[in-house]
Amino acid sequence: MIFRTLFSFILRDARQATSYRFAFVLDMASVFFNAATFYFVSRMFDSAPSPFLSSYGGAYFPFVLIGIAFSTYQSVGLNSFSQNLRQEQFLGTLESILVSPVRIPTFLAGSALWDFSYATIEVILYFIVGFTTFGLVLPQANILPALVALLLTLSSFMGLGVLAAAFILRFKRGNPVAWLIATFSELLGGVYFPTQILPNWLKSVSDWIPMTHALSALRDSLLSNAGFSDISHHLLYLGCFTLVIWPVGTLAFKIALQRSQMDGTLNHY
Amino acid sequence: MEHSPIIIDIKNVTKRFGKSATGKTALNNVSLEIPLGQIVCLLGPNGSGKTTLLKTVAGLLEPTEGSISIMGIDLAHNPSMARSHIGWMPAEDRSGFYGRLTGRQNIEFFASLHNLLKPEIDRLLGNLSLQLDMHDELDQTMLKVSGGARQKIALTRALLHNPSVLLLDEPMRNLDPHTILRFRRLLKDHLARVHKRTVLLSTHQLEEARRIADVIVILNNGEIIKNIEARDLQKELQHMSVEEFYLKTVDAEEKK
Repeated sequence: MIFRTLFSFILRDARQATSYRFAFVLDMASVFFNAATFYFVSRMFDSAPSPFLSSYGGAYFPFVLIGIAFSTYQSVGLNSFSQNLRQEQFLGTLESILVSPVRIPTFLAGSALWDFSYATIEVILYFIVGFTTFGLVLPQANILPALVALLLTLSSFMGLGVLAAAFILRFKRGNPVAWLIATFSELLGGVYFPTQILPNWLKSVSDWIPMTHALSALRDSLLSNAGFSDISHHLLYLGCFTLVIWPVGTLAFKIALQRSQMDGTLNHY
Repeated sequence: MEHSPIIIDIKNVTKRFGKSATGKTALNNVSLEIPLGQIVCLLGPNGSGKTTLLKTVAGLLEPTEGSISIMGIDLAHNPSMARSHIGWMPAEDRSGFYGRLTGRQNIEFFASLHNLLKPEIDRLLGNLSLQLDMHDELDQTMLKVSGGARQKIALTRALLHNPSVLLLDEPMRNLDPHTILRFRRLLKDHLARVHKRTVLLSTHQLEEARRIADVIVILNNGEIIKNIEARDLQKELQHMSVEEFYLKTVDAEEKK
């Protein structure tokens, strides 16, 4: 029953998204140009590989491609719930959904499913472009640990997104969770460079950011043939983060919803 | 005489917005019992609390005091179960739809939230579109449909999952006389009389309220100032029109 409801959400959003065909073409083109930009940046390091990249196979392009491809999930996780919620408020559809028997976690998950699916298409496209156009090879890839790391990454970022949605429901604009995580992850999460470059005090901050562990686990397993035992500390961090952030996010959302129902601001945006 | 079971039970509901000392009291100690198959029409000036009462019964607003039960299910304790019995139609300016989707696609989505399957949705939609005289409107994107068609689609959305309770906020606004007649027949003769659906609706159309309702409730400043059975209204009207009766009732309350 829940799966049928979730399918309805994804079908609704797919229908809406495919009604904007040109936007889809532009999004896919952006993936190509993004990959191309970092491919040419990586060419600068070809003659003198950085020692910081040695544990990732030495090449910058595979390193950064994994960074930019999988960081897409974070931006989707942080923004999808809150943007979709705001959209429902703006359209006036939120009330009709909340009068239905759908439970809040189902509504939240359903409203973000399409965005995560779309992000997955983008991630796959990054790799297709990498393989077919820019000579990407992943000879050391260990797929199973990478998939587990990906699942834990998704659940961590989705949990953060629910917390961000609670802020949107309550304060309408201004999303401190999304701002804080996005800003710190960009700088300290190791999207564009290895976190080993950072000074020690910043490195210790970086170790608390989910993006750091997500990308480390994915890079280790895809570029260095790391198995479960090699990335277990990253998986443990992401697992614990998921276990904490989901109840906190859901509770915050329930409180925000209850407060909005009390003061009549449910449909305000 | 056989008593029908109470389907909507509103007990001493007060709704205040903002801090209790300085906040606005939108509903003040409102109590209303609506039995099975009855149509209750809420009348009242703008800001009298009609929409607030409907939203509170729908579970979209939490009462500051008091309780509401739907089919004997306490809305505060089991909201999901209580809501599964409700068909909700917001006022036209808030009757949200996804503009890029067609009316049919919108209805399919909302019906699926009530666990209806596609063949069932198609069958029910076929019946309702005949009753509400809808043809091409369902297959146009919502951005392109007229206000009246939007209203019909909103009503279809509220009715599709066959709810026991209908909460309709100004359902007749923007409808042409022909559609109002169809709507009245559907609501009164078909849904309330035959299928025993219980209806709470708000309107500004006084004559329509008289024709459609079993009971008329007049609200002013968040309080029920008149609760009268439609069949008794004629006696009260004497030589007045419905409009004159309504204004007299509200004015008398204002002077108190």
